[in-house]
Amino acid sequence: MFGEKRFGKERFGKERGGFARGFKPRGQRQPEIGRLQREAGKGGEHVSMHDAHVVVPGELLSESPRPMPFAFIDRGKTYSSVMGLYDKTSGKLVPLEGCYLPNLDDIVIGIVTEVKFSGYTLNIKSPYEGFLSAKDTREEFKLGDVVVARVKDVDEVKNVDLTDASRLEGGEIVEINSVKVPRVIGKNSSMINTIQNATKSEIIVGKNGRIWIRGGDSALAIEAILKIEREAHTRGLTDRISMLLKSGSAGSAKGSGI
Amino acid sequence: MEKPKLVIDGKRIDGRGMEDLRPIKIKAGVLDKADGSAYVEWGNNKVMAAVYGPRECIPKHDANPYRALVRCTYRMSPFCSIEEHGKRGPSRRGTEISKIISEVFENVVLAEYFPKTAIDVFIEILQADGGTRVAGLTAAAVALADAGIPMKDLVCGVAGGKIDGQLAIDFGKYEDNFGESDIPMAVSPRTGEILLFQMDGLLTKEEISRIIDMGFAAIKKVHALQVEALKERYIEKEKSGAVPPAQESAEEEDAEDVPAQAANPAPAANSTNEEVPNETQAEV
Repeated sequence: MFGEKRFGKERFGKERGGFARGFKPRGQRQPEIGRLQREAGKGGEHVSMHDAHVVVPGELLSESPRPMPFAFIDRGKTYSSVMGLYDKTSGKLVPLEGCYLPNLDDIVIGIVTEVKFSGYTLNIKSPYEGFLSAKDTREEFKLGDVVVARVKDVDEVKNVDLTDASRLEGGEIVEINSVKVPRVIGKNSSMINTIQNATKSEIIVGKNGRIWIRGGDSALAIEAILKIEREAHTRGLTDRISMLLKSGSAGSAKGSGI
Repeated sequence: MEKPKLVIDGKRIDGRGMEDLRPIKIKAGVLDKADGSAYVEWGNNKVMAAVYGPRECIPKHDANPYRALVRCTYRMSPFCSIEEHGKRGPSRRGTEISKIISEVFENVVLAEYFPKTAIDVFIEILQADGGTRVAGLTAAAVALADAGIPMKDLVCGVAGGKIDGQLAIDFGKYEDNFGESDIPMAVSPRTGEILLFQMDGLLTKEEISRIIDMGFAAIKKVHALQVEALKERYIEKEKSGAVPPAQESAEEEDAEDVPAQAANPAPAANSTNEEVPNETQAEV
C-alpha cells in the first residue's frame, strides 16, 4: 500500500531513526527542518554587482548575442525583457519584480487549498497551483495547513508536482516578492544565518517568497526580512541588516526588562 | 458647440506649437494591491493603469496552453469628462479600445513564459481631454514593466492629425473633436514597429507619412519619461537606504565583496581587466 517511497532510509535514516514521518514526536522534528533549510540555502546566489544599473524592458544590454535569463536576442543584439539590475562586467541580469515560477527542486511553502482523494492542491504563491500526491506523503493535511515541500516535477504546461512535504506547526509567515529571495538567503545562506543567530528563530525560506518563522524574536526577524525586501537592490545591505539586528535585539531586551 | 478656431497665429488653442507635447507626468507603482501600476497625467488627462497577473485564467476555457492571455480593459470613469462620456457600463467605444490595446500588448509581452494564465490590465480614465487611448496605453506599458512581466519593449503612443489645415501632434479634446483628421498610434520605440494605427477623417499619403514622422519624434520623448518613471522608483528607494553614501561605500568593501570574490574572481580582477571603463583606470 505504501509502495515505493521517495524518502528512503539512505536519505533520512540517521536523522529520523527509521520512524515513519507521521509518527515522529514533534520535538524531534528539528533535523528535518534543518535539512530543508540547508537545501533552501543552496538557492542563495548572492548578487554582487559593482556597476549594476537599472534596466527597463527593451533596453540594450549588449551589441552581441548573449543568452541569459530574462533577456532576449533580436537581430544579434541582447536586450532586457524585464525591469532589472544589469551588471556589465559579470553580464548578470537580475529582475527587480516578477512572479514566482516553480523550478525543479525548489523548496516552497504552500497552503492547502483543496483536499482530494488523490492528494492535495497547494497554493504556492504562483500563477500555478502545486499538487501533492497522496502517494508522495504519509502525512495527512487539512484545508489551510501550511506545508513546506519540494518541487518534484514541472511539465511544459506548468503542472507542478510536489513531494517531501511536511506540515509547519505554529509560527508566522511573511510574504515577500520571490525575486528578492536570493537576497534574503544571501551567499551561502549568510544573510539568513545572520538573522537566525541574532533572533534565535527557526526560519524556513521558500523559493516562492513565503518565509516561515517560529520562535525567538520573530518580530525582529520579520522586520529584517522586510527591510531586505525593500532594499534588495541596494549595496551594503548585509551591514545594514546586522546593524538593525544588533540595535533591534538590544531594543527588545530593554523592552522585556520593563 | 460651434467649431472654435484651432490655430491662431501658428499657435494652438492651448498655446502650443504644432509639434509640442502637453506636459506629461508618469509615476510607477502607485497602487498597493496591484502587481504593477502606473499613473499618468498627460495634459488634462489623468489615467490610472493596474496590472494583475500572470494569474489563473478565468473562465478556464479561454486559457491558452501555449501562452498567457493579455486582457486589457479600457474604461472611462463616469465623471471623467464634461460631455458625451459619462455613462456607466461597457460601451461600444470602450470595447473597441480595450481590444486594440490588448492586441498591442499581445505583440510585446513574452506571453509564452506563462502558459494557461491571464495577465489583466485595467486602464481607468479618471479625467479625459483627448488622446486618452494613447495615454492609457502609455500608462499600461509602465504598469506591465512595474509588474515584472517580460516584454520585448516599453510601448508608448501618441495621437497626431490635422487641425485647420495644419499637421500637429498630441491632440487635446477640441482638436480631437473639431480637427479634420486624427491619428492615434502606438509604437515600439526599440524597433520602430507600429503596433496601433487608427485614423479618423481624410488625409493624403504625404500627410500621413509626415504625421508618422512627427509621431516618432514625440514618442521618443514619451518613452524617455516612461523609462525615467520606472528607474526613479529604484533610485528613490536607494536614497532611503538609511546609511550615508560615504560610510556605505566603505563598509561595502569589507563585507559584501569578500564572499563574492570567492565564487567569482571577476570583481577582484576588475582593476586589471581591459574591459573596465575609464573611470577605474583613472583611479589606478
